[in-house]
Order: sequence, then structure tokens, then C-alpha cells
Amino acid sequence: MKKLFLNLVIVAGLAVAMTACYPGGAEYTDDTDIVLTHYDPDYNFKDVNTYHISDSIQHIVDEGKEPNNKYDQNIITDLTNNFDALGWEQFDLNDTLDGELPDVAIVVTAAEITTYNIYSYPWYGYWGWGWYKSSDYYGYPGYGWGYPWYGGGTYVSSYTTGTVLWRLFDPEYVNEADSTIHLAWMGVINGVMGSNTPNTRVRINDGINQAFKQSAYLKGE
Amino acid sequence: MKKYILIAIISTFASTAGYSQGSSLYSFDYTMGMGVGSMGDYIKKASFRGLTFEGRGFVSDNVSVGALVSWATFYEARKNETYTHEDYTTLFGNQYRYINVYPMLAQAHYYFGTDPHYTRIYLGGGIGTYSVNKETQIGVWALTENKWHFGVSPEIGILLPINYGTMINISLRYNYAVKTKNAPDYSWLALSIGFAWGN
Repeated sequence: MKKLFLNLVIVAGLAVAMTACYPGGAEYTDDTDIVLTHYDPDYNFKDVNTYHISDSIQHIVDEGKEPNNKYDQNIITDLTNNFDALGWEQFDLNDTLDGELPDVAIVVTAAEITTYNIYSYPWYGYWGWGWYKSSDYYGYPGYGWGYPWYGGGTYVSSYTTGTVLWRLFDPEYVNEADSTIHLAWMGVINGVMGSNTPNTRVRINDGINQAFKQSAYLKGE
Repeated sequence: MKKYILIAIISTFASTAGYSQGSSLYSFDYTMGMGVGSMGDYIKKASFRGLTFEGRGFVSDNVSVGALVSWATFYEARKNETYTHEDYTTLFGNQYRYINVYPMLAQAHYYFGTDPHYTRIYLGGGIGTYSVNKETQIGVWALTENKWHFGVSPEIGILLPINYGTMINISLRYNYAVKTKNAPDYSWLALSIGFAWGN
């Protein structure tokens, strides 16, 4: 009986120890920074020569909260520098009046809500830009996004507070029949604007640079 | 070959009938581990978090059968790792990799020497199930894979008596959890050191 009790005590100790000493994990805020990129493998980035990037950022905030615009210009500048470094030229929006379109367009979102589900937000009507694809057409009001990688098995739909996300698409691949804008590339920096830490600016810059670094296909490689 | 296997089985049961001691041996060990193969590629660091509990019953002076339950956590933090999924998704960030293994095995051992008051080396092994929980934490997300595997585990060990009925047990075990339909195989070496006691 004494031995049985001893063995039971040992098994109980084993169970406690199993749950008690779990190692490691993230310690600091920037330990959880992530850069996520998706792309459409069928899209030919080699043919891209011109791009247009919106000069304003869509801010998604909780009701009653003010958007944090502090880093907007930094984000646009960092993205522009990287697109320029690819050898792509910025597109003049006035040319849309002549019926021309940029090869690709980029729109940027900063989600400052607790959990942001990217697949539940359609075209944002106030990106502050657009072009005349036809005489009565400006932007894509009511359009949704088409994600070629969606359904491929692994994707993340929800992001935490302070996510910066940009979507790149080809205006020629906008499906008017089903109101879908098909994405060619998407970049996400998760959590960088969740707190206004002294190095937030650096984390945003590092994240954007990393997104381009891990997306060699943008250079047609 | 079949003939020899049959003879071995019959001999075991014959010896059970002839040499059964009815005695038992328990051991409780601290277990360290080191992944090998693809598991070693995934987590290169050794594990220093593990425990093993065994119960053995002697069916002869030299042979015992029994069971084992064990647990070990393998962990490694990787800074600035890139994870690519199906070519079109790339995830960059710090990774915190965990593998928790829970072997539950039926065992058999053969002991050299018959006197339990002297040092005895034993050979043996186990066969049974392995619960393997693999988790990769990236940022605030986690990729998890929890599967049951069939597995085997050859072992060599030594029992060092320290007083009547109590011994130090040291064993080296190779664990191999075979691959399943949706999970890879896992293999690791486990070094256990602890106390054994019995009657």
C-alpha cells in the first residue's frame, strides 16, 4: 500500500512538472513583429514598369477613437523608396485622363483595431485617389479583393492592433463582372503600430524593407 | 526466420513459467534529449526538460516486461527566421519552436547477471504510441500539429545498487515515432538518470 502511494505521488509529481516548466517564448513587444508577404505566382512582375501609390492611408479604428497618422508619411516614403529601387517609375495620375493606367497600383491600410480581419474589408472609398477607367468610373466603390492564395491551406485572416498592410494590384486585372480586384502582391507588418514605442519608426522601416527583401519575384526573379 | 522467432517466444513464456520471480521494479528518471534527423534540424538544441516513469515486472531472473510513460519538451528560439508556405506565402519573424513528446510504451528488458544486489546492465526496448505536439510560434500566431504516432524505442541501461532495494538507473534510449499521413517522423536520443526501486 505504501509503495502504491509512493508511485501515485510520483505520477502526480510528473503531471505537475509537465505543466510547470514550459520554456521561453517572446519577451518584448518587437519579438512578435512579423513581416508577411503573399503573391500571385501567375502574375508576371517582369512586365511592371510603372506604379501608383496612394498618398493617403486607410485607417481602421475602433468607434470613437482617433486614427494615429503619425507614421503615414514614413510608411508611404519607405514603400516608395523600395518600389523606386526596383526600377519602377511613379505614374502620373493626370495620364489617366488620356486613358492610360499604371501597371500596378498600391493602397495602404493601417488597422488600429484589436483584431483586424482583412477579408472582411472591401475597397475603401476614401483612399484619396483613383483614375478614370471610363468616363463615369472612378475607383472601385463596392468592390472586394480577390486573394489568389486564399484557400491554399495556410493563410492568416486576423491581425492584431497596429498592423500596416499594403495591397498591390494590376488595374487590368480588375473583374467588373464580379466586382473583384485581384491582388498580385500583399505585404503585412503585424503589430508594429500597436504601441508608440521609441523605435516604432525603425520597426516600420525594417518591416517594409524586409517585405521587399523576401519578395525577389518583384524584380522578375 | 519464423522458426527462430517462434522459439524465442516459446522460450520467453517457458522461462516465465520456470523462472518467474514475481518481483517488480519502478524507476523515476530525469530525462534529457537530443533530436536527430529532421527533428534535429527543426530543433537543434538539447532538451533538459523531461521525466520518465517506468514499471517493470520480472518474469524471470533476467527478463522483465512493463510499461513506460515519459515526457520531454524540446525548445529553440530562432531569431529572424523565414518560413515559406507553398511558395507564395512568406512569413518573417522570430520563431519559437516547441516539440512536446509523450511516449507511452510497453517494454521488455533483458538483464545481464541475476543478482539484483550487483550492478546490472540491461538491453531492451519499447513499442507503443507517441503523442507528439509540435508548435511554431511566430509573432502572435502559432502553427500547431498534434498527432499520435506508432513508435519503437531500443534502449541500453545500467542499474547501480545503492542500498537494499534501491538503485540508480541510467539509460540511453533511441526513440523513433514513425511518420503519419499528415505528420513527419520524429526521432531523438534520450538519456535518463534517476532512481529505481523494487522488491
